[in-house]
Amino acid sequence: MTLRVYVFALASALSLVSHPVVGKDLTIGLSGTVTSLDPHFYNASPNNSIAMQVFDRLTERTAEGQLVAGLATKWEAVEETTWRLTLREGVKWHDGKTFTADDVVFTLGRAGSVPNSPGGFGGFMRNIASVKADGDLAVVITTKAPAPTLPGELANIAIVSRHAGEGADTADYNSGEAAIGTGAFRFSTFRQGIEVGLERNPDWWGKKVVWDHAKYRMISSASARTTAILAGDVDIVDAPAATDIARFKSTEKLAFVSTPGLRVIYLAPSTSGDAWKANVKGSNGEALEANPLADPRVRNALSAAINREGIVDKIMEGTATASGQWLPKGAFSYSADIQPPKPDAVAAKKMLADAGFPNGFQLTVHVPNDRYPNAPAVVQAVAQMWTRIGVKTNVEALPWTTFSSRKSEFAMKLLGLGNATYDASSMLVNVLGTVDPKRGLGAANDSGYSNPALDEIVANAMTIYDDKARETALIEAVKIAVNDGAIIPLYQQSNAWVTRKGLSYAPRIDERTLAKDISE
Amino acid sequence: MTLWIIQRLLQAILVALAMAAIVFIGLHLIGSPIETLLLPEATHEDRLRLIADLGLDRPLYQQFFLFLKGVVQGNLGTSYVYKEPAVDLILSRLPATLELAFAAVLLSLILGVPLGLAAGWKPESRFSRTIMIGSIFGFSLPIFWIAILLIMIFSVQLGWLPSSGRGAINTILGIPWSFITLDGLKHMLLPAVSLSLFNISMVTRLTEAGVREAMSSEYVRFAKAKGLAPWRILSVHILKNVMIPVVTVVGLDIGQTIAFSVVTETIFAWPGVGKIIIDSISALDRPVIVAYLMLVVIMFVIINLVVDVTYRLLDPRIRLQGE
Repeated sequence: MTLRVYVFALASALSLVSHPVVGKDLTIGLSGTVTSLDPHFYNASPNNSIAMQVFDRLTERTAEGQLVAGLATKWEAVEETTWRLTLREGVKWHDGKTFTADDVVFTLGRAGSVPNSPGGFGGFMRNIASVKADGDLAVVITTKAPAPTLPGELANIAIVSRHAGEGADTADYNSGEAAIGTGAFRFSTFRQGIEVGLERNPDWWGKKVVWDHAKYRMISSASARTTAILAGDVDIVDAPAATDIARFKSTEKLAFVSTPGLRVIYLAPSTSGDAWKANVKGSNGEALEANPLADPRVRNALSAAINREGIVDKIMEGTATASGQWLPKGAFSYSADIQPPKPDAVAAKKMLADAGFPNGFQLTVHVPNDRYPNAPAVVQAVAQMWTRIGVKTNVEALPWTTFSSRKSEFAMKLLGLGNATYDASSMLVNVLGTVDPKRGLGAANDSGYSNPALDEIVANAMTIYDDKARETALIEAVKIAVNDGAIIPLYQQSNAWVTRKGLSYAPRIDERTLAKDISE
Repeated sequence: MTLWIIQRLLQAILVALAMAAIVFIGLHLIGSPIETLLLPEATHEDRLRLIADLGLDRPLYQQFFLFLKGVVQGNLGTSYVYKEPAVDLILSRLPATLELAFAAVLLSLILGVPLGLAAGWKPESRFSRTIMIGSIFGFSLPIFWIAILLIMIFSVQLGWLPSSGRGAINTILGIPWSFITLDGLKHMLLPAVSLSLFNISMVTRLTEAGVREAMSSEYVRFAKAKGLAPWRILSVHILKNVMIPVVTVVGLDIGQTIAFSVVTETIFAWPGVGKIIIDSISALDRPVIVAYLMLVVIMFVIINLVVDVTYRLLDPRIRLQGE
């Protein structure tokens, strides 16, 4: 081959790239990693961001978390344990077939049991006993017990089609073959851990979408996201680093939006079992007979010693809101009565003395160092505040892999919870419920907290169909848990986005970045 | 030589197996992938189902033998996180890393060897001194710092080059590459330069030292006395002798650059294997970690083979062990 042939080959290769691009394109820099396009594979925010656009749900959540109609236009509790959902008419799958009630039946059979998947959707359907189609445009869902929160939980389950999904496994969704949804965007490309390409579905039933193509680029490093948006490589990024926010705000060509999010960061004291023994000692390092953290007065003293405003201000640099509960203002079952405790070292000391620890004790707190922004620094600060009231506190920071495997061994640990139910029940049932697989309680309870009275109140609240009454009951449960010091809430993390000037995005409390809701 | 190559390959397999065993035990000690993967919303049934699905309810030695059985059948396991075959996952990322590593090594040879020759030929000249001082900066400045500096200047301030990603890609033989498109080359320039700066300096210094040593040797003085042109002495007589250490270092360097390009890949969001291995370690995604490390072992062995063979071609006096 002559040189000329090479040059020709190169030139033709180059010309292939410069094909004309039609329509409007949006590029998103996403902090998380989309691990699969199978919408039932993993209930994590990045996966859900994509699933929420390729697929629709029966009910949907607005940016503020309000429940609105999705593929179901109406839902009514016809009996104590029966829901009837009326489906939207004339909805088409991306391949042109018509959406029917049978697809819903298929979906609810699949979502909780995808093989080899870390899942996380089963919990939303734990109450479902059976799902039946009632004609083409209605489904009847029977539950094992009264389930007033079912419509809200269904807002987490992407509806997939039977004709594309029957017999399909996760790989078929990843290849796009089965990723046939009814959503605002169609699947276009997926490269694991690199990018997801979507193209507009012109036949979508929802409001008009601005973008013809949306590309999600996964950029896990915060500094790389910062430079990408500064350089104009991407149009919007999520989860900017706290230290860069001042710069974004002062940059002419960028805009910054944020909202307090659903994710709460809290300290979990170990209240039962023997795990505390290795990490709690007397004030002179001697072994203790009983676990000081089992006493609510001690837990409340620890909570009262923390200056949350200071932490939020100085360490989180304003990217969080101090909290005395585990939901942001405005969420269902948030209570304005529960304010973050005012830091009061004197009162805290007195509470400790009342509990029989006038000289305090020694405590080791564990914190993951690669999971929540600034968490080790936050715990360092808390340790100093506790040491001030006599509880000599050591901090041990561990990578999440080690931390998560050992978390039941810790006396006090920092954790976060995303409140996927958009109300207080996720914490009350999964984290604070007494461990009881039969009742579906305490699946994520690794601190040994148990309060049967609270369990009863929660169980009762979860059967109340009237929203107002249920909210009141849930708030009552939250107050009991907070007064008991079941957990020590610190703050709600803020969800933030940086966009190029001219784009607008209503910040979502659930961390998801949705191209369909970004407007120009 | 065939026998020798077979010997080396057998050694490689033993090393790879030993390494797999160590990784199995090590990851088992670090923690459980179940705890890292499961969400707080998961139910008790979710947990039990996942443990059984991933085969983590078996004792570790059984898991290891199942893995070995898979290896014999050409299956290195399925990623826990992505639910894709681990090898596919790594191979899909490998081209990105390979082209970046080779671009960096190519840059270091194209720039490093001539600079080193020039600096060694007239070591006292101002030009040579400038090169040598510059090379000190090259290998003392950390890569991540240079990378960020390059991004701030060329992407953020000047806006000439993109700051992240691979850009447009095109396929040759079904493999996606970016170096064949203009946009891809633009994306590759900054990461390749920051990755190569250290290598350029090293190759320059190695070449310079070699040239200076060769300059005082008999054959060069004889060539000079014979009246050969300086160009010919440098490019034919000196270069060949100088290249042996350079080849060794560059060979090892390719391996290093491929296996440990994590930093550059993170800063430039370059979708190579570095990123996936970091993600996999933080998720305890054992199949991917094991598969990756096995591939790295095999790669190092192959590179060393190529280096040894190149030695022989450069200097026929060198005999390989067992020959």
